[in-house]
Amino acid sequence: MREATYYTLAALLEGPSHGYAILERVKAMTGGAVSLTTGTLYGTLDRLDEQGLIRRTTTEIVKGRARQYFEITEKGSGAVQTEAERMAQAASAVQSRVQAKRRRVRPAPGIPARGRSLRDLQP
Amino acid sequence: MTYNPELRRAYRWALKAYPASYLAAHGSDLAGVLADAHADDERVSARECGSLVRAGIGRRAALAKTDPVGALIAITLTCELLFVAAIACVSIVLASRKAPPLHPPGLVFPTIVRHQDIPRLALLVTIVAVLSGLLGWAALQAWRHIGMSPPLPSVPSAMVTLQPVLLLLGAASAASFFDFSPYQDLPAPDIAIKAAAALLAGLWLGIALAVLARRHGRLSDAKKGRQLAAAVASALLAVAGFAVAGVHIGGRAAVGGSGGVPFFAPFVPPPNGGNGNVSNGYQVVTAESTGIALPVDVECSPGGWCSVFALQQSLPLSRERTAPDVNYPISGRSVTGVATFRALPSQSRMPLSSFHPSCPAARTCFVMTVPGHLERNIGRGRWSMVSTPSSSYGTNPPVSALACPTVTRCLLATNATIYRSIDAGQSWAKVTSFPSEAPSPTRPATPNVAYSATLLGLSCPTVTDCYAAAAATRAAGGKWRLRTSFLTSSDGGASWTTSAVGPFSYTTAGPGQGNLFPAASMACTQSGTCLLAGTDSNGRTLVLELSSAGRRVTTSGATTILSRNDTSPAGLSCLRSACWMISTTPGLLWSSADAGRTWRMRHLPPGLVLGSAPSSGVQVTSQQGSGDLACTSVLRCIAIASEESSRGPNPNVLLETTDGGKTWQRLILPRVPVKSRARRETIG
Repeated sequence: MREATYYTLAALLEGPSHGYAILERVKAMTGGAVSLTTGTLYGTLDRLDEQGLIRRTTTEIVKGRARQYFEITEKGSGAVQTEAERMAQAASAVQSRVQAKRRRVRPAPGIPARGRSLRDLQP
Repeated sequence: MTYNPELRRAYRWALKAYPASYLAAHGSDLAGVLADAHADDERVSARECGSLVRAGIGRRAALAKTDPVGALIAITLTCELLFVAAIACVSIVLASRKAPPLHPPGLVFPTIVRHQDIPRLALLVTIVAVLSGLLGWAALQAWRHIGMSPPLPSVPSAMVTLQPVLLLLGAASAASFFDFSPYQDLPAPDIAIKAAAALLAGLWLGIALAVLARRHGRLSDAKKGRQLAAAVASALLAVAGFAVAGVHIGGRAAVGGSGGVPFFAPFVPPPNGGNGNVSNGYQVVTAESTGIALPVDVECSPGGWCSVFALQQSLPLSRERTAPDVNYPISGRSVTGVATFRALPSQSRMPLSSFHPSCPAARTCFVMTVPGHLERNIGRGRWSMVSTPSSSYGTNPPVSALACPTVTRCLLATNATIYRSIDAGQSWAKVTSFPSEAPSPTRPATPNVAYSATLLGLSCPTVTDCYAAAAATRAAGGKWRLRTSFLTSSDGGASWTTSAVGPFSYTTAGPGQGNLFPAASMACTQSGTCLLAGTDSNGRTLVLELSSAGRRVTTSGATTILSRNDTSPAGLSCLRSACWMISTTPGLLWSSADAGRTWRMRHLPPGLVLGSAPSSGVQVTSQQGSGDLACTSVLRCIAIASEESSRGPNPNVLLETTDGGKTWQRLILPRVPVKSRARRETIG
């Protein structure tokens, strides 16, 4: 699942939303690290709609312009949840190994981590 | 939108990448999001524009998935558009360049195609591409019109394969129509063909744009009027573009003399045919007047059309010191059996001092004007000047005969040499010299020896079979030796084989004895039998029948007929298996439907006399008289006769028969207003 797809679905987990609100939610959700463009967002929304992961709901008129609302479907919720779990599992797997590596290479007190040799280990 | 107008314009342009149907459904929503997302921006976001265009193209691709037929139509038409545009660009570039020397014969198409021919080929290809595109589009529309869903796998593939098939069919039809072959060039298309091609191209472009616009573009389905307007506008633009480019190229090629082909060239008169001041103390003035057409020669093409060549006798311009300086050739055409003529005056204003017309096609004639100038009618009244072979001394030798079996292949004979052209007279190559006793580069002249050579006839009854007869004399030691040779070619005149004709080879004591061929004439049938008329050394009239490339010589039955009527042949003419023979007895002639085996006597109306040199189709005889006879069949002929009247002889009576010479009707050539030129002396 692409990043734009993942965060778009995640934004819609908070409830039905229109395009601009989705952009703002994604930006807030990622702390500004992910900023979707309008073209990317609507390309993603069209594709998710075709796949049945979201659906278009109501359209309201604001300042003379149509505002389309999107709502995540059960299938979409399941898909983003599965993706989140997969990413969490992947992150967990990597995280545990990173921590184990750190433990293995942690030096003994008083001995510098670098420059040790067999001669240093001799009594 | 409330944000920056510059941003609004930029994003609106980017949104055009989306299909119209998508914008109709979601365009307002997209615009709203764009306005909100970029409300505080001052500069256009290239990233945003890129994403919009990318997403728009993605939507179009998604539509193509659901409508592959439409997508293929769009792709096909777009490819054809690019194809035609590329051809047009190449043509424009190549047409303005100087032409290279003539290609050597024998190379394989298309390597021999000189680049000045590419515009003509491009025109052909463009027409075929346009027609095929229109046909494919119309077929699909018809399929849908009857309410049937096109079979998705077959229709697109059929359309794709239709293009090369139609291309080949078009080339094949062009080959037969234009007589185009790897060794020949296409004739220059006339203005009507160019206009039709431009119109077709324009219509095709318009339809292509309309289809593209309706399927994927900017116009909604509900606004078909705008689609039609767009189609018409694009068609007009395309036609205008063709016309502007053509006139530009043609004008530059013709006026600038760069050597390019005036593909769309308007007629530009030659330097000696313009109107205005000249430097030798005379002023050329031009005015409209009417002239009297005096028919002097007639020639019929194998297709049944006849052209009458006439002298246009122009009237004086005024009572000032003026005088008509030239006579104008005009040409009329007669559909078989219906003598309706239209004048096709030549623009070059070269006087027809000698005629040797040859009309290989209905609308193409070659005719000699003043010695050294050959003109070619390229259809619908437009004539172009073509060259004649130059002798080793740089002069144009006098032409004795001209035979053009096709619109591009011509044989031209002087009294000693046959030249051949495969490019409609643009260049000539010497193919053979008559096997004479006359000196040649390899046979230097012998002192105190007189030489002469005479062409008796040149005939090409088919595209490949050509025949010639020539007599050569050599006088030395008080004896004159005459040898008649018969030349045959089975490759359109490229190579010749020679055989001597016995009864006409003899030795006399002087030029007056034996009277060398006082009325020699030759005509050949399509089956390869030639009739050769003349007199032998005893003065007896002979008509020989030559077959098997001249190896078989027999005396024709016409000899007996002529002897029985105590007359001599004045001229022979054959077209396919129909032959005509004119006698020296006034008004007496014979026709044969079986290549000269049997003859029927015919008479002209009382008081009318035919000239001495009939011709027909591509047949050409060596002697041209004041009258002529040309036939399209054994039944239909057009003749130019001479009539004695109380006001003196009238040598320009035009007659037609449609019943094999039983009855003759007079024809009247139209009096056509033509531009007369006069040379007026400037006073003071």
